[in-house]
Amino acid sequence: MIPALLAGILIMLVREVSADGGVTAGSRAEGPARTTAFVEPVAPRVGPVDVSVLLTPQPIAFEGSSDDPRHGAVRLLVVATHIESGIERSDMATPAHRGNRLLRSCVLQLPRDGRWRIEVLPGCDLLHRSLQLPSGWPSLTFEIEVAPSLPPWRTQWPWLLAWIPMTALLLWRDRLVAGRRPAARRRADGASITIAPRK
Amino acid sequence: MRDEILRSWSFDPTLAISCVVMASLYLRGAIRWRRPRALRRGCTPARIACYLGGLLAIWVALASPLEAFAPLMLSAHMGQHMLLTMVAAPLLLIGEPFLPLLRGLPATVRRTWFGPFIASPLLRRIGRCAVHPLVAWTIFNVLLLAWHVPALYELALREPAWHRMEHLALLAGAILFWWPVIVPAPSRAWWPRWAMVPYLLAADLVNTLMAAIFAFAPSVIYGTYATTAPAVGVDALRDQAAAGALMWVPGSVAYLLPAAIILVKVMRPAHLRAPLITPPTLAPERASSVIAIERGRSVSLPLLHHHGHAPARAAVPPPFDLLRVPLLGALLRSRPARLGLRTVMLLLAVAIVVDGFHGPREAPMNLAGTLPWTHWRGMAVLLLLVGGNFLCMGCPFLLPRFVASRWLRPVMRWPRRLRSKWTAVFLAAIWLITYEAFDLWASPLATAWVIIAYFVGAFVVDSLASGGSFCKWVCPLGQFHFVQSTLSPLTVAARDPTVCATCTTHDCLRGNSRQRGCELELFVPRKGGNLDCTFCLDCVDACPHGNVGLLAQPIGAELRSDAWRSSLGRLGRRLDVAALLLLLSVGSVANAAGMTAPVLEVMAGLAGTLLVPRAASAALVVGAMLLLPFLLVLAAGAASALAGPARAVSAGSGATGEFRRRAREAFIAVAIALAPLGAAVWLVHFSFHFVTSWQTAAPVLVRAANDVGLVSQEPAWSDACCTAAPTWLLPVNLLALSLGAALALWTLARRIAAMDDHDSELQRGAAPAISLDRRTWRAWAPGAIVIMLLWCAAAWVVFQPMDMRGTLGFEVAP
Repeated sequence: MIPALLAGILIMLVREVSADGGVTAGSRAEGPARTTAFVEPVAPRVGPVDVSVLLTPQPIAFEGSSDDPRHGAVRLLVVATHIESGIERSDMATPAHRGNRLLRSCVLQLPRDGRWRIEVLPGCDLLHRSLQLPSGWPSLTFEIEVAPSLPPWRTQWPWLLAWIPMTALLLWRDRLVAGRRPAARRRADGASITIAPRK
Repeated sequence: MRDEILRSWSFDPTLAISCVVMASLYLRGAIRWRRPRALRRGCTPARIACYLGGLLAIWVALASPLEAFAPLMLSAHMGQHMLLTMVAAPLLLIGEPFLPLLRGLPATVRRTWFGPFIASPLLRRIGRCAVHPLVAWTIFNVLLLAWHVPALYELALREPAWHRMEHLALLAGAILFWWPVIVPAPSRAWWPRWAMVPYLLAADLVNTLMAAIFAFAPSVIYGTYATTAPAVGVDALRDQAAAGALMWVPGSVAYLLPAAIILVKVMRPAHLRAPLITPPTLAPERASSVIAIERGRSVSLPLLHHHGHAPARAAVPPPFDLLRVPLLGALLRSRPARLGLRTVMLLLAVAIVVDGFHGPREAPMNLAGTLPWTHWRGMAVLLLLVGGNFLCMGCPFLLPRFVASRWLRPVMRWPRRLRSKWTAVFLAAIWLITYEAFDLWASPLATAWVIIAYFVGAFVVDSLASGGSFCKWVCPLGQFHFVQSTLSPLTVAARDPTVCATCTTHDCLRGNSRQRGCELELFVPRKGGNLDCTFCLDCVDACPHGNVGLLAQPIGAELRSDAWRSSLGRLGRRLDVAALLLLLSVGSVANAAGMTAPVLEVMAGLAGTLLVPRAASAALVVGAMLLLPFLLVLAAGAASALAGPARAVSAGSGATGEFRRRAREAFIAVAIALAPLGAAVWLVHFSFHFVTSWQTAAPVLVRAANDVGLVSQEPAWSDACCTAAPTWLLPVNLLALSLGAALALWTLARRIAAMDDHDSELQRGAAPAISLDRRTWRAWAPGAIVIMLLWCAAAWVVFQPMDMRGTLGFEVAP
């Protein structure tokens, strides 16, 4: 019971969980600073896609790395552009809804599948996109492939319902073997077949 | 346009793998069949070419630009249908695939799985009726007409699943249609040859009528094409007319040419007729054999003798033994090679721990955040289900213990009271809950601590207690491997049981001067499966007769058998083992569900309502997800006990005692039966992460190497990021779930049927089949309902967006 007790106490004590996940989409260093972006879900689909950004001094020049006071002050704009159609979605990355306070993120609703270009622009905001204020952190551009949204489950019925014929076959096979066993034992020695050639 | 056509060749792995498997089986069977000189004419190069040509036609129809253009142009879709029905089907039948395909199957699969169906008199009657010319003609033409009715045709255009069904139905119907014309061996013609001429002419009449409708229709018949054809620069009406012409001319040729050939042959004088292959007469009572015939001869091939009932003269070939495979077998048998494998894994573990402590705190950039949780887990579950428990074989925790054991001798045996799986059940439950509560996978530091804790735990336990106590009684990871390996196709077993019967030294268990025996106290001849087996292969080294191998076994056989086994006894009486199997089965669904947005919302909502930290709410939700199925299985056990066959109450036990005994047995049966479904869910979950993120290993390794100065290049993060999930992943995942559910239902039926028969073949471990009566079905139903509920939950999870933890809907408690 001791491990359970310890786990329970630990669970009650923990006030914050740093959950990140996702995959590193790009990283760029410029001078003393580095900008790194993560994307969730790992295989993005049409709909919500999370872009999280980590700003770190490079090489580490400040104690606490990204906890540096400058980090919180920097405005961070994330712009997604559908390469084929030019559709654009943008939002400010903030630490507001993240579990991990080191990261700043935004959720972009991507409406179309295909290739999207993602720009991470430190020092910009929604009103002054072209105006990049001197933030000290480099901007970052990368591309992601967005798949169509998951098909409705109804369209997947052959795979979803495959268990029915599979189960029927397995149980039927048992029934066939069980039914044939006594007969099979009786004729255990008679296995050859004589076939008359066609006349 | 030309470029678009060339680019639109598609690669559908399901189709490609199906074609390759069918071709390989046929060729294997054909090669093996051609070996006897007397049969050499049975499977000629021309027939082989025809069969392969038929498969090629299927592949061209379904993977070429025809498939891409089928939703856009009627003529392309018609081309697909023509290839499937007029080219692929007859070519496959000319190849006479029945016997080569059977011969190409592994002997066990052929005997155990195909034998009963082929030998079934009912199925044989159905098959014989289906290829009657009247029936076959009607089925094919009704299918052809039905699928061209606008409502059905548009449905197939709208939904890919129905499109696949359309092609499958047309191909199957065409095979039936061409059967009476070609009469492939071994079958017998219903009608005389000349009757095939009007048969084909009548089919051509239907074909011509349909073609004329398409060619001369004043308007577009299928509304979809009215909009899609112009999009690719084609007039819809002309495209429809072209489709009609395609159906008319090549279609008519396909019918009239064989009609003409048959007519010419029939009209020839008897002495000039080409020799025909004699179709066999398979009398039902002789149906356990399949025959190969050459003109004027009769030969029997004992292909389909049932397992356990083969006639004495039909020698059963030894099962496949991986240790006898050149190179790989030698590598696995070599102790230094196995030691090398563990050393590599140990070094990798050390690298992960070091990076976990000193690397970036962001999991996607850290070795500890990617390799164990994405790559190792994915590879592990795949390896377990396609091979065996090679994970325990390469376990890095074994090496330090092995080295330390030279100086530290265990001072005690594992306490008797703890010699059960309850400790492992408890630790596995704690693991599943803390995994969700603390997001262990997202914290490199936590991952590093977990690995260190594992090393310390293994070292301490095995330094104190002998007999592989950590692996057998404690290690939750090892228990996971044991449970999933019950579905593995390979097992450590005796090659020849008669050798073991005469063995007096039992070195595989006791060891000898040069090699220790099985640390987990498994006696190879009575082991009966993979539970508790770490694949260390010490028994292989110890056996003086070289009689231990890694043999093929039927998937999940040990779950269906209740034979007594070494060190475990009967599974049907082990409540602790059943609890472990149940926990890891329901844990698979809870673990996967914990990655979905709706469950995360529930966790967040609960945290807000109860004013507790999010970790506590996650623990509560996961705990509930684990507990609820336990209660359901308990209820199913009780319901089965009430519904099952009546049994005489033994003296002294009373009705209540008897009910308890039956409920306990039914609970164990359901718990064991859930294991295949659990394995399928683990496979679906971990393979999803592996398939969508396997590329992340390269930049993370480069980053780690860069940090320690081994390389001086920037990791190419963008190369490893965010490719779309492959289209085949969802169907394959759903198919895996279906297979798991089917195996679970089947296993349950076997166990329930044997519950009241302590002298049954199942309990002796030799049950090839069971027969279910009405009361047994009633006892089976409650457990089956629980299995289907778990399957529904798993299927629901598959359709949720995964891996969104830490982003959407995730709130940190204030």
